[in-house]
Amino acid sequence: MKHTIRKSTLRGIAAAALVFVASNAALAQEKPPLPPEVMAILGEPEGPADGLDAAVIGALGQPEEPVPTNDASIDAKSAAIAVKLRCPVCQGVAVSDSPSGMAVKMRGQIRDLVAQGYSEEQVMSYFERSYGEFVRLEPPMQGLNLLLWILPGVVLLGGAWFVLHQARRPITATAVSQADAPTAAAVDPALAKYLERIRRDAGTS
Amino acid sequence: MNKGVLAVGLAVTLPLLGLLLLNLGRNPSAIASPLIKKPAPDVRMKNLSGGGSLQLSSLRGQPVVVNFWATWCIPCIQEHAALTAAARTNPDVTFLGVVYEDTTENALSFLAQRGSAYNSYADDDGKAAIAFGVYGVPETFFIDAAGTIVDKYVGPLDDDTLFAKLSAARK
Repeated sequence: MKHTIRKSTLRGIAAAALVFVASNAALAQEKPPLPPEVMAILGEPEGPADGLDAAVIGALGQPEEPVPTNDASIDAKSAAIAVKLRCPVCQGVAVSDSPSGMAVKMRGQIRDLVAQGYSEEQVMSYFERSYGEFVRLEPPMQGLNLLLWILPGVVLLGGAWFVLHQARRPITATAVSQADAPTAAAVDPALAKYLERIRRDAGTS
Repeated sequence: MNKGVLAVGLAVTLPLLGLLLLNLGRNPSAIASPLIKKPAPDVRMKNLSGGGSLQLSSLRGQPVVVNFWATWCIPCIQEHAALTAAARTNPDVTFLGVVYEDTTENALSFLAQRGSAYNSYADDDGKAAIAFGVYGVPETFFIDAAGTIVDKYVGPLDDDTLFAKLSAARK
């Protein structure tokens, strides 16, 4: 008897759950249209049914991460992204540091995207899609950008090598040897006899 | 040694000289939009006069001109007459204005004073400006019937420039 009660109770719960799920699904699929007088006040719905922006879905697709539930984690993640984005209407200032209206709106957009579960890289690439790589304060280490990282090191090492190389060379090697010295006639024929005399006096000729 | 120094000097200076020559004709403040030849962002904007909004993708099938403007922007005032005239003489093209960093009240009173031949939309949260990568105003985007951005113009438009850009958007 006990056993049968348990079984029927379980069946009842399962049936109730099924009805609940099915009715919810039906409700979700068939949203009753708003009356025209309400539509006239509210206008059309703000965006697609899932609450995501069509422009963002077109650019990024679906969010890669689960929707964050905690406001503090959304703020922290948004702030970390705003530091890496350049404010397009300022001069070399991060979105996080700019008081301009556009930067404020960009911070709002970042927060919206993070709150919907878009990953940092997705958010960055959303802004990059419209503003280009310029919007990233740190250009990614790829392609020609690699030169930005490699070239200063190469120039520094090259300079150090050059200085050391010069320092090690004996001084005499850099002095002009007698053989290389220009002849008086080659410099100025008029000076030839004076040079000849100086050399004779000095005993070098 | 002298030859070596010369070679190193040339190796450093020639590429720099090449870069200089390549970019001599370029406007240093102009940054090419990565959106050219890409599908226009499907933004939704609220009608300025309230009630209703516009999803940009609903305009597919006809060329579209999207002009970002503000009442505080002098070049926007300069180009307003040219844009209004072009909208009147090109009924096959949909013109629309997007108010950038300005209030709806300012925009409405500006349009009431100077007249307009097309709708303007509010972008209070800046999402349309961000999606279009707007740096400042005026910026105008030319979109073809397939919804692809074919050109972007920064600065005040005149009749001739508008005519040329519209022809490109019609192709």
